[in-house]
Amino acid sequence: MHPAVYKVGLHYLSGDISGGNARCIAMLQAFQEVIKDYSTPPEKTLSRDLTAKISSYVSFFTECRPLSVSMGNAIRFLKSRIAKLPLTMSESEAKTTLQSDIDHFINEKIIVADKVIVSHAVTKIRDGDVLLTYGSSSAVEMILQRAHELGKQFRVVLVDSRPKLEGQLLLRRLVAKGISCTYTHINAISYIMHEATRVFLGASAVLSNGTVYSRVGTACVAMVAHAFDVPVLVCCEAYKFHERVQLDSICSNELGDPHAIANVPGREQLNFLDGCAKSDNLQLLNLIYDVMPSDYVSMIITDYGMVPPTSVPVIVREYRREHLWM
Amino acid sequence: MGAPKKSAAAAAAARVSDDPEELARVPLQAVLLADSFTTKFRPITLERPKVLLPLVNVPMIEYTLAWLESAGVEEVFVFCCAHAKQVINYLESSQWFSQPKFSVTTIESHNSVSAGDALRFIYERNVIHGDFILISGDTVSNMSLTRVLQEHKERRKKDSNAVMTMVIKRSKLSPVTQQSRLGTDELFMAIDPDTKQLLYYEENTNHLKATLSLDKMLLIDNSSIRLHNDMQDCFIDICSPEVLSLFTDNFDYQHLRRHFVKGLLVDDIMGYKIYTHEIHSSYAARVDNYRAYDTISKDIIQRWTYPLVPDVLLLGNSTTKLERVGMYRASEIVQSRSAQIGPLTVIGTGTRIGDNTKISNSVIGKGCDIGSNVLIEGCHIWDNVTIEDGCQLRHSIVCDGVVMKSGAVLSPGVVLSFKVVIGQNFTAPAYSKVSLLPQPIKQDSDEELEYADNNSDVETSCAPDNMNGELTSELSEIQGSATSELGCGGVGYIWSICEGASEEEWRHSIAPISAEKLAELTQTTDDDLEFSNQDGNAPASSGELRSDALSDSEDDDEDTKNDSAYFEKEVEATFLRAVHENVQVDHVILEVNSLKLSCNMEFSACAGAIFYSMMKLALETPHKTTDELSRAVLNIFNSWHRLLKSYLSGKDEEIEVILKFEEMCSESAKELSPLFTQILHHLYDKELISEDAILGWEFEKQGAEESDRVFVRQAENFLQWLKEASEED
Repeated sequence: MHPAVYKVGLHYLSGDISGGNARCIAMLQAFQEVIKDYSTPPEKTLSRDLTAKISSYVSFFTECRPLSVSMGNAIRFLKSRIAKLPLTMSESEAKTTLQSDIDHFINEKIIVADKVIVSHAVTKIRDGDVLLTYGSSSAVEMILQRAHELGKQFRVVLVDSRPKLEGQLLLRRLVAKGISCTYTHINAISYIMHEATRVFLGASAVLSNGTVYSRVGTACVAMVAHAFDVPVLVCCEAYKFHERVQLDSICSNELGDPHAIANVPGREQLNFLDGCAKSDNLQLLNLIYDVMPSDYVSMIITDYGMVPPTSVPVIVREYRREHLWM
Repeated sequence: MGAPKKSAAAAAAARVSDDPEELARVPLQAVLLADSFTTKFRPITLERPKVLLPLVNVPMIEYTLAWLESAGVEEVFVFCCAHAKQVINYLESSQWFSQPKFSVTTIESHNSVSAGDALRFIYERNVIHGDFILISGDTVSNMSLTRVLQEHKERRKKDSNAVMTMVIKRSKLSPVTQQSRLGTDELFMAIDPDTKQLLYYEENTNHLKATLSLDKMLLIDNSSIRLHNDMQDCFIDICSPEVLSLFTDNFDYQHLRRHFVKGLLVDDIMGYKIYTHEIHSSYAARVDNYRAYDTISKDIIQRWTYPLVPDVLLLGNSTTKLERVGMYRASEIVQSRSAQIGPLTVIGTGTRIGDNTKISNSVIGKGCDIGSNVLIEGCHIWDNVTIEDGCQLRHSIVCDGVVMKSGAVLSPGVVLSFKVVIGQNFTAPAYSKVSLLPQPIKQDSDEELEYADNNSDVETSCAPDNMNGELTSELSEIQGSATSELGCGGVGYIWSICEGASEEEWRHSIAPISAEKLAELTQTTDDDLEFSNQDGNAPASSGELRSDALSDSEDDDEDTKNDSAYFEKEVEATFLRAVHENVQVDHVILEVNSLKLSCNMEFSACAGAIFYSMMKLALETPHKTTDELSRAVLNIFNSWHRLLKSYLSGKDEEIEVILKFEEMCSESAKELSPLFTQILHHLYDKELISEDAILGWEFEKQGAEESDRVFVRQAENFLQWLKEASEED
């Protein structure tokens, strides 16, 4: 096991690195380290052996925490690059090519893509808007900051939920930037939705039927917004698109620590379910993701522009082709 | 800490005396000081006592009384001093006198000038029988007293010396301004983490001071100590009856914290102890200054003080409704459709708001009349205020009955006292305070001086009571005199900000600290050293010189530079004093010597500094021509050459003096430059500077640049003459 991989895996496990983009970048950078230190064992070819190695690392990552769609796509990209290496290429050349490919991927598909998304999204923010967001999405954070820098007059409603309360970190950063914020929990969503003029949401993945796979609670926010006729804008880089189709959030999801939902934040010793948590006829369910049907999504903002959810299959198809060209 | 034996005995005694007390249950009592004994809210408090000032449209004392009632207090003694009549009249007309199970008694005194006096007065009345709560009438809190009272009682049972429990709350200081969000200064407390005993209490008013000295006995006596600078004193104290007698015993205790708390902490003979109780989720704060007023208002609007919030705390029969984004609207408001009323705003009954007016983060009182195109941001506007079209108000306090004529502008931090009229298109400067009453001539330059000139304090604070009647007649008179001050048609006086306070005005003002000030402060803390260097305007000695004199300490260059500037200033001050007070030369030498030792300076530095101060004195004596100047210089040399001589023990010191002189001539005192040779010659004549030294100076300058040699050339003839003279010898 390579130490860089080990380190990143443990970060996943402890939750220090979370969020689709951050996890993907951390993984790719670990792989860069792996490739840098790699040397082909005798009587083996680089492409076969390295692919096998990467696969073993990936299974380690999966053990730490199930892969996200973004990571899956990145791994697929890397494996196809390794497979396409010409056999005649020397080992050192192959290594530098792969490393620069990874750099390209990070830069093009994540960093630049985010910038493009931000530039698209800020055009949708007008003076006097009340923007509602849920949880903590890096893309949404960048959009809000950019809009604030451009001097737009808007207010942010930050909806959060237990047990992770990720929104608090985002709240802290936004308030420090001088953006006026309202913070509330998802229980109050139907009250607060009255005020909102737009909902900006992040996504973990967008599936080819237009379904958005995201942090648990997002679907609820989108549904309420839909009911209140508030436009829902999902911000998602195109590399997180996937050709899979999923109709509900139970068939494929990730389970978090069940005890996390029984604990009271800020008071370690207090537990509402003390005593009955171990009871046989109680099951604690802490889902991490949920899916939002495409009906609730007004628009998906990607690096390819702003598209309706029905256009996702097109992007998936085009994106694949581009993938092959790279 | 008292001897264990003694405290055990005392505890036993307490137990005996406690039992009957418990049998005859004492009702929970509270002492409410309806006077802050400070002048921080002037000029408003000249006309109305602080406790009756509206905080989010409700007089402050209402918050305190409502809290005391909800916390289970049964008897409240309201101590009134300044404007006692107004407080009593207010309480009589309020519902507080007719509450079942909650009795409010007023105690009136006219000659108390501090909290200490107040408590002594209450002690004489002999109304307090058990533990009581001591607060001032400007406290807003929603904490429950049950736990702290229980803790206090239990401690008392074990140790009768535990006389007081202070309520504290965590509050972080701003790293830049070194003050809490309530505008109070940094507070250092040492607390025993196990027993919660308070061991040390110090307010740090000097924002640049970074040191704190603790008595090492604290560390010997206590196994562990926790030092806090992140605690806020809520000024809610649970006191035992002994506290009152302690005030009577120590008749010089005036201030609750500065004298009483510190006095108890220092005094180890009696062994009285003070404990702390930290609250976490409940709210407690005191309106200590304008910034606290603003902050606490916002906290109330944001409902941190629930249930003491505008829509629950009913006053009179007006009902206030809470709307979205923290908007509170009372009934009978007339508001134009085009008016934009922003977030976190409270609007009182019967207020009228005109077209296109924008209001945000503000409190507007009852019966106000606000015209069109008015901008109100972060203001506290009290009752019956008239604001005409096109006014702009930012972060200000506007008291009852103020009239702002059209187009008037209030810059951040302005305070308009009762019934002031601001003239048309007049712009009130930032942080200005305007009142109908002229500023008392004997203004306390420092808000701390609450008892220093207490007599005048009482007089002035009592004066408005009688003056109210005369006020109207005086109005016309004022109108004539003050029109120019507040624009056309304005009525009122702008209070000048007293010297020392102007610097600190922004700290306690209602306005948020401006970005420039923050940037400036960050700068200050960053390059503190450089800053103080620029501050001392004494010229730093030339580089060459310093390396000569202090070659061994070049590492801490910056430090020595500071030191020497400081040293020079001190010497100069000493010398000037000597001249003005005719101090004997020997004494001056003694003083300079001690300065030299304390600053760790060399003799040459002393000589340089003395010479510098002599020349400076000469420059400061009035003169018209260079002749007169030279005569002045000669006079000073004649009378003080002995002083200089005593430091000129060798050639090095003499060269130093010449170098210093040269530097002065070229930098700070160009007037002297034509006299350079003349004075040098004179110094030679007086045998202050030897021939060797002058030649040595010339020698040193030989390698220097042409620009540095200006004075060498000027003195060429003299040098020539010297050389010839020595050759002739």
